Formats: sequence, structure tokens, C-alpha cells
Amino acid sequence: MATPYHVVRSAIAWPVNNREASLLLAPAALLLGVFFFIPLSGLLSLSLLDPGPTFAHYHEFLDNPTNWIILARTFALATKVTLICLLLGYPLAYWIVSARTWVAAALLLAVVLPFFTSYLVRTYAWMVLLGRFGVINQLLMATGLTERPVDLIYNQFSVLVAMVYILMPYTVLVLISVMKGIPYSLTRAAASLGASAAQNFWRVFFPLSAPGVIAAGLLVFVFALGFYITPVLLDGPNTMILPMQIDSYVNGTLNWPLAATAATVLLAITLVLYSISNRFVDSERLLSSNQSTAHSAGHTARHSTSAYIQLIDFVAALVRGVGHGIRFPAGIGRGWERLAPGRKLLRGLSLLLVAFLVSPILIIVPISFSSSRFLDFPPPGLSLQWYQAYFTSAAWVSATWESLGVGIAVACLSLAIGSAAAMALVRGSPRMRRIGYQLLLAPMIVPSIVNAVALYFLFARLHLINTSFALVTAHSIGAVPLVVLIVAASLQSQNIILEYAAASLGASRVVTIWRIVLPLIRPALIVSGFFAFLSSFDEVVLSLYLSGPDTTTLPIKMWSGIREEITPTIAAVSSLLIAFTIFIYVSVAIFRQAGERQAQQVR
Amino acid sequence: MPRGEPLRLERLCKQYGSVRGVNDLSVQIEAGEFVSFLGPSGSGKTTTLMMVAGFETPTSGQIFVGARPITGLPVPRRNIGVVFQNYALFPHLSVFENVAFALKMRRVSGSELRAGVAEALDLVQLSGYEARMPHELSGGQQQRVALARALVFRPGVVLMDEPLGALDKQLREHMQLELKRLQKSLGITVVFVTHDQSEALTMSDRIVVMNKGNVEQIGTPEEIYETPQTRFVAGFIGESNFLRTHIVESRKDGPLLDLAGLQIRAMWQGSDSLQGAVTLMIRPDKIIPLDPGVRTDNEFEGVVEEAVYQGNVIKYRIRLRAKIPVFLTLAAPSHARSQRFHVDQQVRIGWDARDGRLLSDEGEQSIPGKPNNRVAVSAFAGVTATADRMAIVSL
Repeated sequence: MATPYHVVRSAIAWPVNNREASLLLAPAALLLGVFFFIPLSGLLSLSLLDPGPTFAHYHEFLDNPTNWIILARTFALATKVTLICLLLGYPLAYWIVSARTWVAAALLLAVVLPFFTSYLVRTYAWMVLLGRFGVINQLLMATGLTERPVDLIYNQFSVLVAMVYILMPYTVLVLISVMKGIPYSLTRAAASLGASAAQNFWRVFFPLSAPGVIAAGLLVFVFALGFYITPVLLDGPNTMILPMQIDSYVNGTLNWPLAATAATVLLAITLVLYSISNRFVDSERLLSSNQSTAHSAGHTARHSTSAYIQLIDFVAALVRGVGHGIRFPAGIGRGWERLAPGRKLLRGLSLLLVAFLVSPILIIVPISFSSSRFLDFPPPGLSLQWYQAYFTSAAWVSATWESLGVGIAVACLSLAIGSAAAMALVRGSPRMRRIGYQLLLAPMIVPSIVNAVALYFLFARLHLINTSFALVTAHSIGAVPLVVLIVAASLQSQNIILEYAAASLGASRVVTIWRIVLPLIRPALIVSGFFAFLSSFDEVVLSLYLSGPDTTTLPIKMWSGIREEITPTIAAVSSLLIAFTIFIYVSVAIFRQAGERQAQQVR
Repeated sequence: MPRGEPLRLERLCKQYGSVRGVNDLSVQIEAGEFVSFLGPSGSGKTTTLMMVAGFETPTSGQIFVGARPITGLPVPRRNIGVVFQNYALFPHLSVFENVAFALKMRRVSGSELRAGVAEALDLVQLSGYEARMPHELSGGQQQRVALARALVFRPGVVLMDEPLGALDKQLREHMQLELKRLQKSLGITVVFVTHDQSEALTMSDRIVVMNKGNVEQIGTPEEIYETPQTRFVAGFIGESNFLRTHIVESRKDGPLLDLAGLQIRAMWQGSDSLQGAVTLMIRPDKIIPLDPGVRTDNEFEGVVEEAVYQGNVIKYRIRLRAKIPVFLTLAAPSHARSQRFHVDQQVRIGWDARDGRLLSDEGEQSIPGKPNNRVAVSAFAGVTATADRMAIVSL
């Protein structure tokens, strides 16, 4: 070792400066600014400034007694859904957290399966089950309980059932992540101090879980307020709720200012509830950083914490878990069995809930193979006719290609934009991080009907309706926050010292990102790309407003198919979608595992 | 042989808001010297290291490697090797790729790259491990890879942030010696951060003792242990009895102290300006039991109150007159030497006046003229307050 190697020349200063972070943040800011914040402010200005500054539209909206009835109905429905979800979801979540590993895994699968199933498919499943000649009525008549079919569908009951069904997985997953955060040692300590199982639960576990339960409740409530698809498909014509009223202003009476007003009202309610829910999860971690960066990371966007983030965090962990066989996130199945009061009753209830979660999906699949022209269950014979109908229909096939194309474009775009933004947020200044999280995650809170109407007004003016461009940008707005969350969580868990080490060895920022950071967060990139794709592939509300005859996506084709006639073709498509989701899910897991093995073998 | 470069820190300050992380630190580290920064957590030692590495920007002050100022230089261009606390090996790269990383950054390739890596791995005795991934290595092996990676580009200065902290005790002691040998043979300059006093004493040419952002003392291990200049240093390195006394008579050879009626003789240590209340520090191992007839400067009768067996030594608490306790340690008895006290035994103990060390009582150090260490000692206010008797700080 004679002379020292020459010193590295071109290198960017360390640590990341704000200009660099801004540069990484710019694409995301541009996308969300132009296609999210501008449309929303357009909505606001339409409600207040058309033709001049005026409150006339608000007067018109609020002076109409029908709208008060609609508001009251919307709130009542959301309240019912929320209470049912919490009351039924809590025992199941508790069971999952406290059960032995394999029991927990099985139960969790029942929750995750509907969670990953297309929204439209799940709604459709209930139409099949609850229909006038649907599965339940057929069973009731076959067993002689009723002579004539019972009216189960196209009323508040069917809406309630389907909404509970759709929101239950969210509720349970959020509750699980809340319960996971309660240290087991506390209940052990209580037990050692003489607390009985019931005392332990009511005096230690339940109070500790309460803030999370309230946050989860508010989250479900906010979701329920903005529900559009399910009520439209399952509700009767006389029981309108607010999102349907917004739609009727846009498409029925063509009163855009009034539509904007109604949408603004819904948005305002949502934001208020969201900020309340934030107070309850304030103390909980968002993207906890356990490294020495803690002092500079400080309060990592604590105030943008929401139960939603926990949910995403948890689901991302689940997806990763599948990569390692069924290994579930830490904290599941820690064996708190002895803690449950009224155990048998609650478990029975939970098992019914599990059946409720799984059966619609399990019924759709056999029906798709039915030889009958109707939705008979069990099917009288087996046939592939409905699959044949799907594959030979030019409309179905082109819709599928459109969806695939848009989905892949959305995944690529949001992956690039989102991971750059995540990098800026995680390694940038605390102030930038705080503001950045608030703004980047905003699209997750805004009800999609509001977002859709706002974008519709913008794109209509720009004559961009019925273009793939409109679909890709609109879907990306929803996908970018997903990518940001998952990638940021992964970056946060990476040891920043590795980046320091690379710098001390002479690597510039760009080289560090390319050779150290990206390879290390590759699993998160794959997972978030998968999420982004699926979120686009399933998207209905935005597409309803923005697509046209040339850009019909698969969900839109299904939507119109469902509204026209309920044939088993939809069941075939739904089954294919379920299979497709499982396929992607599994291949992501396999790809990841292979990647890891390779990474270990490479020299 | 790569020669180390000198490293000079000049009036280095790091302020976090109103908190002083590092306060006016100046030290000149010679080429090829092994210098440890020793202190409790929060003392500013790691902050100092991070400023030298370039991960923290000093609020004021200058850093020089040789004659080259590096204060504003980006990290990748500093050419300083860093061994991180938990090694920070790139988990997705093999041993070879980890070590080769710095050379690739310097556009070294082909046979030169392979030779460089081979030489570095040879230094740490890990030849043949090139293809392994970091997670396939033991803690000690990972430590060596981290070392090879920091040495491979021949930096003039290598920084080490508690590099041995994650190893178990035996391996740590082995690595201490090996690291020291490697540093000597390569002649590199090493700045080593640790909170482990014995590690610092074992390895260092000089030790910088830090507390609350201030330098308490800079000196060789022997100087630091034998002649601590502040109460903090005396308490942090090794164990000490602190006896709160006052000077009754100043003589030419040393003062006569009074401790609740006991007369104690001490020596001046360049601190003949001391007056009034002073703290006398005496190491427990410098206090000896006196056989009948043996005389020494300070002799006391006492009763053994407590004996704590600690393996190689036994620690005794002995109550002198007026309920003043002192600790003394004796080598655990062997068959060759069976001296041992038992509780309630009457004993006669004493120490040479030269073994005691005077620290001024307000916490000022014994040598006047050093600024700002009132702050440092205030950490021990609680101890001092109750130390009418004594305090023992065992670390």
C-alpha cells in the first residue's frame, strides 16, 4: 500500500439539502397540485363564485328540506354501519390477536381475502345472494321457510349488509394493528397483581385500545359517508344518500354549481371528522424510526397520522408476510387466550362473522361455472359457457386490455413519483416532512365521489374525458399516497447509517441511492407497485365520470353489465378477478422470495 | 506502508438550538496516534466524530487533516475511513463487494481492485471469505469486514464509533488487542469513540475525556487514571473515595487536612493555592491494611461494615471514626496470600500521602486556569451534597 488512492471528486454535499429534497418532491407536487388540489379548489370556487361571489348555492342546497333528509339518512346509515363494524369486528380482532398462530393465520386469511377482492365483485356478490331469486331466497324457499321470495334487496337492509361487508375487513385490520400496539407485558403485570381475566380485559386492555377503536370508528364512518357504488347498486330509488344526490346534480339536473356545493359539504364533513380522528391516534406511531436519526427525524409527521396509515402499514406487512410462507406480522398470536371474558359466545359470534366474510366470495365461484341461465345455487350443472361468453365478447376483452394498460401505466407512474417523494420526505427536513405527508396523503381521505366530480369538471373543460390520459392521472392520484406510505415506511426502517457508510466510502448521493437504497427497499417497491396497480384495476367511481366508450375499463364494463342484467358472465369475470388478484399476490410473494434468495447468493 | 495523517480540531462548537452539543473543543492528534474520546452518552463524543466525518456541520471551528481544511468538504470527498457502531455492512452485498465499494467509487477496477480488496481482507485475516454475505458472518467477522472496508482506500485518518460495542466481552478484549496491533503496524491515525473506560485505557495513546460537551482532560491513560484533574474524571475512570475535608494547615510539603476530627496528610500537586474546603480523592486500591508495626503517612482505625466479593477483588466498606466510611479493595485471597477481613472486624488501614489527590471543593479542578468545568462537575452535585462522608462511583 504505497500511495493513497485518489480522493473522490464530484460529490454532492451531505446531508440531503432542501433543494435536493424539493427536486424529489416536485413530480408528486405537480401531479397532485394540478390534478387534485386545483380541481378541488375549482369545486369550491364553483360553489361560491358562480356567477359572482355568492352563497346562493349553499342557500339553495340547505333550504331544500329533501337535502336535510338526505343528510340525516346519510349520517344514520354511516352510524349504523360503523357501530355494527365495531361491535362485530372488535371480538374478531381480539381473537386474532390473542389466538395461537395457526388459528390467527386462518382467521386473518378470512379477513384479508375479501379485503383484496375487487370492490365491485363484493357488491355484486351481495346482489347474487340477496336478489329476489338469489341464493338466500332460494334457500329459504327450498327449506320451506317462506312461500314467496322475501324482499331482501333494493332497500336499506341490503345497503347496510353490503356496506358492513365491505368495511368490515378495514375495521378488523385497523383494530388488529391497534391491539398489536398494546404491550402484552401490561396484561401479564395486571394478572400478576391479581386481576381476573374479566378485570384484566375491562380495566387494562379495553381502555388501552379505546383511542384506537374511536379512531377506527371515525375512519369507517368517514368511508361510509362517501360510499357511492354500493348504495347505487343495492338501494331503492327512494332512499337517496348524499353521494347519490351529488351525482344526480351532475348527471340528472345538470346543475354543476349545486353539485359543487353538495360535494363541498361532503368534503367539509369528511375533513372535520378526519381531523378529530387524528387527535385520537396522535400518540401512536406513524413510521417509527428506531435509528440514531431519531433526533433529526423528530416528530415524524405525527399529526398526519391516521388509522388509515396504520392500516396500510399493516397490510403492507401482511403482503410481505406472505413472502415468507404464512409468517404474520410480529405481535399476532401472542397467546392472550386466557384473557377473554365470555369467550365461547364471542368466538361463536366471530365464527359467524368469518362465514359472513368468506361465503359471498365462495359462492360467486361455483355460480360462474353454472350451466343454468340464472344464478341458481348450488348450480344444477357445470359449464364453461359464461367464461366462453367473456372471452368471446369483444367488449369484455377490450375493457380488460384497457384496464391492464391503465393499471400498468398507473403503477409505473406512481411508483416513480411516489418513491421519489417518499425519499424526500424521509430524508428531508422535519418541516418539509410534516407538510409533505399532509399534502401527499390528502387524496386518501377525500371521498372518491368528490374527487371524481372535481376532476370531471376540470377534464370536461379541457376536453379530456374519455381519454386514457385522464384515467391514468386520476388513478395515480389515489395510487401515489399508497406508494409513498409503503416506500416511506420501508425507507424509515432502513438503517440510515448504511447511507452514511456509503458516503464515507466516497459514494455520491445518486450512487448511494442507486447502489444501496434502491436494492434495499426493493421488496417495498414491488409491494407498492402491486398496490398501485390493483387500486387502479379496481377503481370505479373516478372511471365512471372520466371514461367513455373508447376507454371503458373492466370495472366500468362490469358496472354497466350489473345494471343491465345480472347474468353469470359477471360471476365469471368476478371469479377471474379473484383468481387474478390471488395470482398477482402469490407471484409478488414468489418474486420477492426469489429476489431475496438471489440477493443472498450473489457474490 | 500507509502513513497516518495528523488531525487537528480547532475550537470546534456544535450547538443544537440552545443546547451545546460540543463546546470549544481543540485537540491536536498526531499522525499515527490512537486517540480515544471517552465519556458518558450525551457527552458530545459521537457528535465530535460525526463532525470530523462530515455528517454533522460544526456551528463554529475548523477541522484539518494534515494541512488540508476539511470543515466544509462533502463527506464523500473527505477521504476519512469510518467504522460504524453496528458495522453498517451493506446487507445486500458480499464481503468482497462491501470491501470493494470504496475502490469502485474511486474508479479502481480489474486486477488493481482485486488486489486492493485481497490486501485489505488479508490485513484482517479474512481471506477466503470474499463470497460470504454479511449475515453469514459472526459478529467478530463482520467487525473485521467493516475494518477492512474502512482501510481499503488507505485513508490518513480512521474514525471508529464504539466499533466493539456489539461484541461479547471476551471477543471484545481480543479485538482490542488486534485492532491496536493493526493500527500500530499500519501507522494510521485512529480516533476512537467509546464509553468503556477499560477499552480506552487498553488501546489509547491518549484519551480525551468528555462530559456535557466539554473536554475534562486530555492525557495518556496513566495520566488520566493516576492524576485526574477533575472530579468528573476521577469518578468516571476507575473507582474513587471522595473525602470532603478542609485544610487546617498549609505546610511546604503538603497540607494538613481535617476530616471530622481525623487528621489527614496530603501532597501539593501544583495546587498550593487551595484553601478551605477541599475534596480528597483516594482510589480504593491505594488504601492498604496495615500490619502491626507498619507505619505510613495516614493511619486510621476502623470497623469493617460490609464485604462484597467481586471475583478478583473483595471490596470492603470500612467505618472510620465519626461514622466516616471509606471503601478499599483487596485482591481476593489465594493460598499463597490469605489476607481477608470479616464483617465487624477491627482493622487498621492507611495510605501514602502521595496517593491522595486534592480536588477543590466547589468542584473546581486542582490545577487552576482551566475554564468552564463548573458545569461539568455539577452533574455530581447530588453526590457532593451527601459526600460529607464520601461517594464512590463505580462504573
